[in-house]
Amino acid sequence: MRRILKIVGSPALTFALILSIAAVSVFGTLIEQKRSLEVVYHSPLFILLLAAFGVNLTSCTLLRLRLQLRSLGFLATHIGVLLILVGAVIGGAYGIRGMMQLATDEVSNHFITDRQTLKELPFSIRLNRFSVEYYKFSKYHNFGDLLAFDDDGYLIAEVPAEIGRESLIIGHSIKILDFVPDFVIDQTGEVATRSQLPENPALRVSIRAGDKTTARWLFSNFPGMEHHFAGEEVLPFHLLFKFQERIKSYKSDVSVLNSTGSELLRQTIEVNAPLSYGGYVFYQMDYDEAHYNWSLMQAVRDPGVPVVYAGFCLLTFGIFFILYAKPYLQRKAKKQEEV
Amino acid sequence: MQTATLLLQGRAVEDFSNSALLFYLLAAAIYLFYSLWEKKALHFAGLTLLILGALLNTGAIIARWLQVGYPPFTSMYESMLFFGWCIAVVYLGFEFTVRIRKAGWGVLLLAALAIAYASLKAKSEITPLIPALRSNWLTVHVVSYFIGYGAMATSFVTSLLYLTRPRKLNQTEALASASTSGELTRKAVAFGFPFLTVGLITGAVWAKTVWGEYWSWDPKETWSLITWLVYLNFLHLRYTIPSILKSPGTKRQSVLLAENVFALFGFASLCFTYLGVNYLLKGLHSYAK
Repeated sequence: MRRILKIVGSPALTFALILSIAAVSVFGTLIEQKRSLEVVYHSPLFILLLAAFGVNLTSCTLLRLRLQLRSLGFLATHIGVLLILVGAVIGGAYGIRGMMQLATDEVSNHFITDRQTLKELPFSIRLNRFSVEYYKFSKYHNFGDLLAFDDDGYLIAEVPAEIGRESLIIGHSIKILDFVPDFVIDQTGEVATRSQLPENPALRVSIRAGDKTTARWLFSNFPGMEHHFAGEEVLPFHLLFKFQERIKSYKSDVSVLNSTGSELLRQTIEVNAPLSYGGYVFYQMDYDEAHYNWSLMQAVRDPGVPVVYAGFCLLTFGIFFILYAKPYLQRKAKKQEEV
Repeated sequence: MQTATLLLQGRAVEDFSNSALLFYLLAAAIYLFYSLWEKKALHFAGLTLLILGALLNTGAIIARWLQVGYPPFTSMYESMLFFGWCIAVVYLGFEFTVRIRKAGWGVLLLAALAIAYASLKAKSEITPLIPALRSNWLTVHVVSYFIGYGAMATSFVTSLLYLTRPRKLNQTEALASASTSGELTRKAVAFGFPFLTVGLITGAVWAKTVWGEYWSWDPKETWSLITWLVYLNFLHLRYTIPSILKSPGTKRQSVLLAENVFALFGFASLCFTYLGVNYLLKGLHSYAK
């Protein structure tokens, strides 16, 4: 038995298996990601490699199993990796994932799984409201792009619309001076912003050619309007400001309801802040970009997660122990021996 | 507050980073002379310039942080500034713990290259964080990765120096030189590998919070795993090679040689993970350009 373990758990085999997993992974990155899952990472060959690595690791751990302080790191790292593999298998075998699309005020107790089946939940979810939060305008953020076209309509330059940025376009130095989200001329004849909402986003640029410098406003909603300003030099290209609003967060305000419709929990689901309830986790995935009328959430039940996370903790602890604590303990023991 | 405003208004980030670049280049030149003549004064001058360069680099990162309002580790420009800082600071740590001075010029040249890349090639525009990046995991994930990257950059230089060492030394000198330089690579990898592990694991945990999956075989994820596997094999070489080789006399030198060759492959893989994937392969990390 020990002879078999020695062969199956040999360091040379570990080395070869790690190298093979790395080589196959390299191949997987060279093909399109969606196809790579089918062709490489979920293929029988790759699963076989991972299984062989698991067997090799188990044999190696059993062979060198010692209940000593100095073996702690070795045990932790090897068991850690095994737990990650086992957790992934549990997740694959018993886990379930799918999508739940809800319109505002809609209640649902089921979702469509990845295998296109309907999965019923032991509770219901109601979407109370979906909203999108945008960044407030900051002087230091970019507001989209400044584009330059020639007379034939070909794009000749594209620069981020960022205050202070200077670019050279066909002998003209273009510098971005200012931005207002809602351009308006106030009673004193000065440029101001009517609100902080991007109703009429405008960018002020200065144009320097030789000794002559002029300035003009470019309007994202009214391309070409800058030409209506009097007394300005005609440029050998057309400038266009393309405003881009920056999304800060997508928010689904949802309630978890029981079978009688009573509210058990109310929470806002955001990217980076999913909702966990009844063994399921709901993630914010997509939304109705046109009217914000619906939200798409991913529902996941993965019983392998605690096992994988235990593996992560053990692996991290083990590696720090082997590479940091163990050499320190060895140096300390050596010094004591010398004394 | 006034200082912060001044930093925001001026070209503070560029000024700090350009000065750091200059100091790193000067320090690299002086370390190069030190590696040839081994004068203490040269080492002192090089070390002083390195510390000043690292301080200026810190200034650039802080100014950028104040400017953008979030931890500045999301774009290629910001990460390169931080990469240069990590290379310099991790090398400084090695300076005080192991005899690595002769490799200083190469390591500092890499730090200077990172800053030069940020200044000359990367886009410095400020774009607000996309929702997926608005998380505390960002700092833990990136900082641990880049400390690891800094250590692996050092291991790359020490392995290059080991593999290109003069062959005409007598046997004792050769053995002494080889052992010292070769083992530096092992020490650098041993320092950096736990940080690569923390980076990989925090990335997986973060991905689970954002996308519901801790692993989706995105090219960046996969290449970071490949890099981790290469360094994992590096750490196993000292067990693998003796189990294959029969002659005990050649084992130590063979392990050193293999480790130093692997350190080169490891760093090549790391560079591809960091730069190559962003430009050549599409995936979930495509914002990091």
